[in-house]
Amino acid sequence: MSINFMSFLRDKFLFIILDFIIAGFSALLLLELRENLFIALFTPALFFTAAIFSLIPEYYAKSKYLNNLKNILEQLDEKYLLSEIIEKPNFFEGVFFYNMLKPINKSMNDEIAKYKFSSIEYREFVELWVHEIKTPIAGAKLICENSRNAELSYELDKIENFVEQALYYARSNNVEKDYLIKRVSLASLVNSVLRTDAGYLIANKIKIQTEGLELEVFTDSKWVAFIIRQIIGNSVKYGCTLLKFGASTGTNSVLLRICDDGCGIPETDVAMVFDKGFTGENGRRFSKSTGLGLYLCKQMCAKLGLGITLESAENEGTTVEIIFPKSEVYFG
Amino acid sequence: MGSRISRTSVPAARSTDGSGASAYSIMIIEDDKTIRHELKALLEKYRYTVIAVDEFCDAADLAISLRPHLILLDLSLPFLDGHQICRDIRKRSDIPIIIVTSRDNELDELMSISLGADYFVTKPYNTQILIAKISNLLNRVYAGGAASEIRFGELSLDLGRSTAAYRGQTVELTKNELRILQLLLENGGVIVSRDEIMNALWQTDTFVDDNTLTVNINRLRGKLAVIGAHGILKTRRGQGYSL
Repeated sequence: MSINFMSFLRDKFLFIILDFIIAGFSALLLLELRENLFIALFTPALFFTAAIFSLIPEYYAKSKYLNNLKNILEQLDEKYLLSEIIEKPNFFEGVFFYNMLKPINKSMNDEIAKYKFSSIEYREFVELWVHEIKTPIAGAKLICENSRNAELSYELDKIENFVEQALYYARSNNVEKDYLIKRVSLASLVNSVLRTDAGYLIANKIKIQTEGLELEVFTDSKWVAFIIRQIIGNSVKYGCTLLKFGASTGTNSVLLRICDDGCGIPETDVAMVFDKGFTGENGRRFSKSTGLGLYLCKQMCAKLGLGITLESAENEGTTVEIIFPKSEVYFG
Repeated sequence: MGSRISRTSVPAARSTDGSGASAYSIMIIEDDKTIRHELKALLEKYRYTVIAVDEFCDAADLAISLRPHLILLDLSLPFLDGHQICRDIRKRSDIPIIIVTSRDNELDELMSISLGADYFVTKPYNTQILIAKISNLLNRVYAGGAASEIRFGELSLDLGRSTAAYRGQTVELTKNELRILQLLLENGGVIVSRDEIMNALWQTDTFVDDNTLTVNINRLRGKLAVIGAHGILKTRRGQGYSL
């Protein structure tokens, strides 16, 4: 959509035609009055030209205003705020639309505020709920421990993981509110996850290999632990028996590599594993999958300024790499 | 004092009972009844003396007057914030405090530590982690870092020097062997499953697999045989091991 002279003329079509007809009619009239031919043609032509030229200032004013409007809109991140920024036009259609835009904008802002508020409320509810439910889960786990019920304890571990997912999903929209960047070694990150998930991993007979994890990164250990937990949770779900953790240094980054020897992911599915709700071939073949785990990982990595990549070969295994930027002054 | 307590016999200092087990006393300040009850049972299984408090208004006073060796403190209590109790206790005493909570954010953790808590554990906790932290802290504070000795019958285990002794004969143990034998001794004759042993080893960041565990157990058996404790480590087919 651009403002050019032709489109402006098209808008003024009726005015021009009418002008032309009147000019022709006056020419005929003058001829009828036996004026000489030159005057009979020249005078109406002069009036006609004057009428057309009178359109030029109007065109100029409107095109200047509208082009300006277009530029502002293009540069604006939150386009619904347009009416807060633009100045009042000096032609009457413009004033009319300008006045209309104001209440439209206000109602939009009200609507957004409403949803922002309800999403904050929902997040707070989920956080509270998660903290509430953790007490009975802790109680149930203690009962299992005391009565040595390993099966039930295993199921409780799964419940716990799903509860964690709900908590982190609710939090993921504003990570910046509760994270704390600290210097932490990859070994302490990985080991803490392995310690916490020991019961689940041992019950599934998973072998662990770690190598070169003494590298240090600056990040929030809690969020990264959650991400690692989702990744190894997937590995276990898709039939792995061996989990290898490795690390290496890139030019401006530190890489944490998590390899499994599970069933792998079909080539056609690899590109989509980070999509929300994507379950793919494996999601159908194995237990029901929600398609949330890796999506959340991707989201959180983005918020924490980390990279995440996944490679897989079917029937051989899957490798996930988390990429930590290597600057000491990096604070997200 | 308005509070009811489940057990009042608190040893003023650490003593050893007939079996040689530790008799540290631990005070649980926790409002959830199930957790309080089960945690008490669990800790008693590890032969700690447990004082479970179920009224919290004067929990800090109670802790000071009963002088337990360690306090397990929940953060979200009725009427009073756990942080407040922690601060009150710390003002008047050096009793080690482990904060146990379901609020898992860094701020709570920072605040707890800055108020003088020794550890911060989030619910639902891995009980092996909790037990390890408790025994760690108790050893550090009361045994001056030198770990204690555990006994079962004629078999004794020196945690500080990592040796096992049987009828006057001593043998050195590796870290894993020590941890395995410690777990079996602490369970005092009760069967411990392979998974539980592995979990306990994982808590010390040695992520052993099934085969490694078998090797460890066999070596441990061999060493026990050397000091004359033949057949003391029994295999319970399909269940695990016991003494």
